[in-house]
Order: sequence, then structure tokens, then C-alpha cells
Amino acid sequence: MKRIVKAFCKGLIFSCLMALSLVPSLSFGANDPGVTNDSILLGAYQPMTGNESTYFRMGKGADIWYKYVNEQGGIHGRKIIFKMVDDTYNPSRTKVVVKELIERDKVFAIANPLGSAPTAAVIDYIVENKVPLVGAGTGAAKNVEYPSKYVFPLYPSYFIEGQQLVRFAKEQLGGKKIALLYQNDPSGKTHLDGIKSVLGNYGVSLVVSEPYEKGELDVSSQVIKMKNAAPDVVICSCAPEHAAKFFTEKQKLGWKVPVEVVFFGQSPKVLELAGKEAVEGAYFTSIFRKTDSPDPQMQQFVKLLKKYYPNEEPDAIHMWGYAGAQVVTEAFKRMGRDNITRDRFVETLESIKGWKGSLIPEVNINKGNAPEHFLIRDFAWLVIKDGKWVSFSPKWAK
Amino acid sequence: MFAQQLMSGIATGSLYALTAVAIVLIFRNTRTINLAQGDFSMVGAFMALVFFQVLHLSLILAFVATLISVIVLAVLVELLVMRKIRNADWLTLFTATLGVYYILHGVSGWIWGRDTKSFPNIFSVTPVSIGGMLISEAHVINILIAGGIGLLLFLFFKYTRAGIAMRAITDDVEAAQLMGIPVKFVVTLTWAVGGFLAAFAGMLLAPIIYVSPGMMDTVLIKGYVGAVFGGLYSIPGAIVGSLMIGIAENIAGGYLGAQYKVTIAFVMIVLILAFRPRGLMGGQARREV
Repeated sequence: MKRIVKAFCKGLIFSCLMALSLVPSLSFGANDPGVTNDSILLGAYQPMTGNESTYFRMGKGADIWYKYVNEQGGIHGRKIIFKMVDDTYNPSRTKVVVKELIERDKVFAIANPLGSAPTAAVIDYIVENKVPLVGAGTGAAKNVEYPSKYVFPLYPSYFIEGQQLVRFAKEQLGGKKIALLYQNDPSGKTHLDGIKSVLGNYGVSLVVSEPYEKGELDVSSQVIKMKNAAPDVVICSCAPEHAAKFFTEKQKLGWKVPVEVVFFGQSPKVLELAGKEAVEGAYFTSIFRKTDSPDPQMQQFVKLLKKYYPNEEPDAIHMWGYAGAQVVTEAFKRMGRDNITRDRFVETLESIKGWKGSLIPEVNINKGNAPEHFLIRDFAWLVIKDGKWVSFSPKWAK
Repeated sequence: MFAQQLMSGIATGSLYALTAVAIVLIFRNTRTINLAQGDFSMVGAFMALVFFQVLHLSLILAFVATLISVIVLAVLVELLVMRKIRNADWLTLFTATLGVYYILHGVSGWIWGRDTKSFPNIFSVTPVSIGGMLISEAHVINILIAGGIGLLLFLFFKYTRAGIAMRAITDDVEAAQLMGIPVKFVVTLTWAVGGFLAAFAGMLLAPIIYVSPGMMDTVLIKGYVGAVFGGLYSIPGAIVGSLMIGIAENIAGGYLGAQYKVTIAFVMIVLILAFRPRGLMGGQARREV
């Protein structure tokens, strides 16, 4: 009998201890997955290796901001754990890593990931799981027009950029015939659609549009074909390496034609790979100030990048991650310490209006689905002059 | 435009040929489909950058140093990996080269980083006009160098003792051994020639496709298709095959649409395997592997 009582008492004590141990977690029971007493887990897929690894700069850009925030003590006592995984810009790989991030690692949100094709492959799954997707480096139509409140696109759609490029070709460069070289995936196709949508409005014709595949060695056959069509302006919807290949090929053929490059091709890599001479005079769209701007936010970014990644030259792609990460931490700051749920995170992001505390001149996020949620809304123009990026105001902006 | 596409195709094809010929050479003497062939070139391109930009050697010195390093790398792979398993079946040999492929990818990425790096244009990119076709000087020189190497190999196999010995073990290893040909040495020599070709391919391709651990992945596949055109046996077949791939890609890209440019090589490999499994040149019946 004694033994039974003893066992009962032991059991009782054990249950009490168990119940007690549950108390702290109960008090945070309101928090969603990925949030612990002292950390918030965010996940991102990035092309850390492979042909598109130039874009891994985005991940590094986000990483330096989170590192900095953590060094300052985190947000309301919680550090940000920013988990980046390599998907090699391969959409089928992205599917696997995102499933792991959400189901195994239980991230709170997917923040600052990269890629149009990778994002298009996983966005349905992310949204079905009600996980916020914030600041993805993509402008493909599917991703930025997604009818869900959980999606917060980083920058304006490539569709709108395509329209702007045609306007620039006509009003700034006086072109009537344009040619397009584009990446044969959702990013390039969205540019193509945007361009086609305004040809009539501007009285411009698209004389040739040539796709390239990411694995292609060079773009010689495309450039020869484009040159033969004798366009007045060429639009290059190209990633940095292929933009460089385009400029190299153009130089080889001794072809002089004004070129506009989309903002995701705006990387110092283009100048480095193709040589300054080949890129001279080309126009680039851009979504940020230049890195030598005296703006204190810009200076802080350059300083932090030098601190954490001393071998990296600051460029726009770093800023995609950095600026997006700044918006993410601002939302956490505004949410306070308790009740950190995904829905509240979405609501808090939607409440950010006229905020000037980041690399983005002004953040205005509205309520609604993805198209109301852009973290960045405007384009700027740059031109290569004497081998350097120089700000450029188109005629209509003057 | 046709002539222009043709010229550009020949220029690219002649660079595939360097890889294709090396694959054929190594295969017919060792039964090994060398997946690491492309990575020999990749390491060569990185080494050339080190010699040229870090150690500031002159162009010629950097070139020679790269050539030697890649040959040493190929010979080391033979001595340390392939020699130990030389009597294994072809799948084992193939898998071993796959291992070397991943090791070289990984180590290069670790040492030099995975970011794409530029490679200085050794030759001028100013276009020159040949019969109305514009072609950059670099392309002309690439074609000439690839052609020159082809000629060099031809002379090597025809007139040098080492070359004749290599052909002998291609035809019949046992007979060659009985004739007193040092088979082990000749196999090592074969890998060295593979390294020699890889170094050229790497240095000539690097200004066009830039330098990164994965730079040669596509070229390796194209080179392999070229080698299959030669039935994995015939060197002229591999050269013709590679040129055909280069031309077909550019013509298909120019007339059918750029999306066919990547696919065309694979369509060609299926066709050739279905209709001419011994390769374009017919050649000798393939040995059992």
C-alpha cells in the first residue's frame, strides 16, 4: 500500500512539474510558430551556389541588417535568426527547401528570398500555409499580383517596368523600333507582356524579341538576329551575367545602338565582366539611390556591408535584401513583445505609412492583397558615364 | 545573317571540340567517360587568373604555368584515383570521375568562391570582316588555335613514338603490352594530353563564358555530345560533331527561336544514337565496355 501511495505521490509531483513547465509556454501560447522567448526564426531561399549566385548578394544584404539588429540587442529581447538555404535558383529545389523551412524548421515567415521562377514555384504552398512572404526579389506577374494578404512584394512589377522602358525608348531616345532580349522565365516574360501592352500607346513596334536560357553559353545567335532587325533601341531584360554577355557580343559585332537594361541587371558585375567600354552609355532602371549618395541610410548600409562581408562591393542587389529586412524588423518593433502572430504581422506591415527609416525613401503599404503591398513603388534611371553609374532624369521627369 | 550565324557557330563548336577530343582520347584508351574533363578546364581558368592577376606573370608565362598545372592535375587524378580501379567495370570508372567532378567543383568554390569572375580578353574583341561576315579577332584566333591543336594531335599520333604507342593500346591493350609498350605510362600520358586540351579549352572559353565553378557544365555536355558523334572513338568524328553542334545551335537559335538553342544538341544526340550508334564516321566497332 505504502508503495502505491509513494508511486501516486511521485506521479502527482511529476504532473505538477509538467504543468508548471507548461506555464511559460502557455503565457506565450499566443505566439505563432518560429517565435520563442528569445528569438524569431525567418527563412529564405537564395541562390547561394550555381549560375545565378550573383544574386546571393540579396541574402547577404538581408543578413547584415539582421546581424546589426541582433548586435543592438534584437527586438523586444528577441534575436532574429535568419536562416538562408541554397536552392541554386532551381524551382524544383526551391519546393523542397521551402517545405523544409515551413514544416520542419517552422519559420515564422519567409523573408527576403530571391527569384521569380523559384518564388512562382512555391508561392501557392506558402500562402496555403498562411505564412507571410515578405520582400521576395521578384517582379514576375504571378508573384506580385498574387491575391493574398500574406504576400508583400519588394519592388514594382516587371510589367510596369516594361511599360516604363517603352516610354523611355520613345520619349527619351526617340526610338520607333525596339528589340528585346529576355530571360525565358516568368521574369522576362512579364517584361515582354508589359512592353507589348503599351506599344500601341507610344506608336512603337517590337521588331524582334529573343529569349535566352539561363544555361546558355553566349547569346551570339540572338544578338546577330537582333542586329539584323535594325532596331533603334534595345531592351535587355537580363540578369547581370547575361547582360554582360549581351554587351560583349554587341561589342564584337561593332553594333552601336542605345540599350536599356532592367533594374535586376544593374550590378557592378556587368561592368566587370563585359568591360567598361562595352557598357558605356547604357541606361539602367534602378530602385535605390546610388551607393555613393551622402544619405545616412545609404552610408550605414555601405558601412555594415564592409563590416560583415568585407570582400563584397556594395550594389543594388544587396540593397534588395537589406531594405526588405529593414521593413520586416520595423514591423516586429511595432508589434511589441507579446502576441506575435502571423496575422498581426500582416496587419502591422499594412499599417506602415510614410515611414522614412530605411533605405527606401518612403515606405507606404496599404491594406489588401499583394498589389497593395509593395515595399518599394518607384523607379529611377541611371546611365553609365565614363565607366560609372550616374543618376539620370528622363525628359518627362524634368 | 546565315553566314554570320554559321561563323559564330563554328567559333563556338571549335571550343566544344577541345573537350570532345579529350573525352574520346581518354575513353578509347581507358574505357573511362571522364566527367571531370570540364572541371580540368575550370580549374585551369582559375589558375590562369591566379597567375595572371594575382602573381602578375606575363601572358605567355601565365599561359605556360596554367598548362603545366592542369596537366599535373589530370595526371594526379589518373595516378591517385583512376589507376587504383583501372580494371573495374566502366560504371565504376564513370562514377569515380563523377566523384572527381564534385570534388573539383567543391574545392574550387571553397578556394576561389562561387561568384562569377571576369577573365581578361587576351585577344582583341574588335570585329574584323571576313567576306561580309563580322567576327571578332578573338573568335578567329580561337578557331585557329583549335585547328592548330587538331593538326598537332594528328602529327603526334602519326609520327611520334608516344602517339603511336597510344594508338596501339587503343587498338589492343594486350597486344601492345606484349610488344613491350609500357601501358601504364601511356595511360598516364593520355590523361596528360586530356589535361593539355582542357587547359586550352579553359583559357579560350573563359573570356566568353566567364569563370565560376560551374562554368564548364554546359560545355562538358556539348563536348560529350560531340564525342558521341565520333562514336566515342574517332577524333575527326568528334571534331566534326562538335562543329555541327555549334553550328546547329546558332542556326536553330537564329531561325527557329532561341529556346531551341539549348535543346538542339540533345535532339542531335538522340538522333545519332538511334540511327548511327557508332558515330558519324562509322569507324571501328566499339569495344565492349
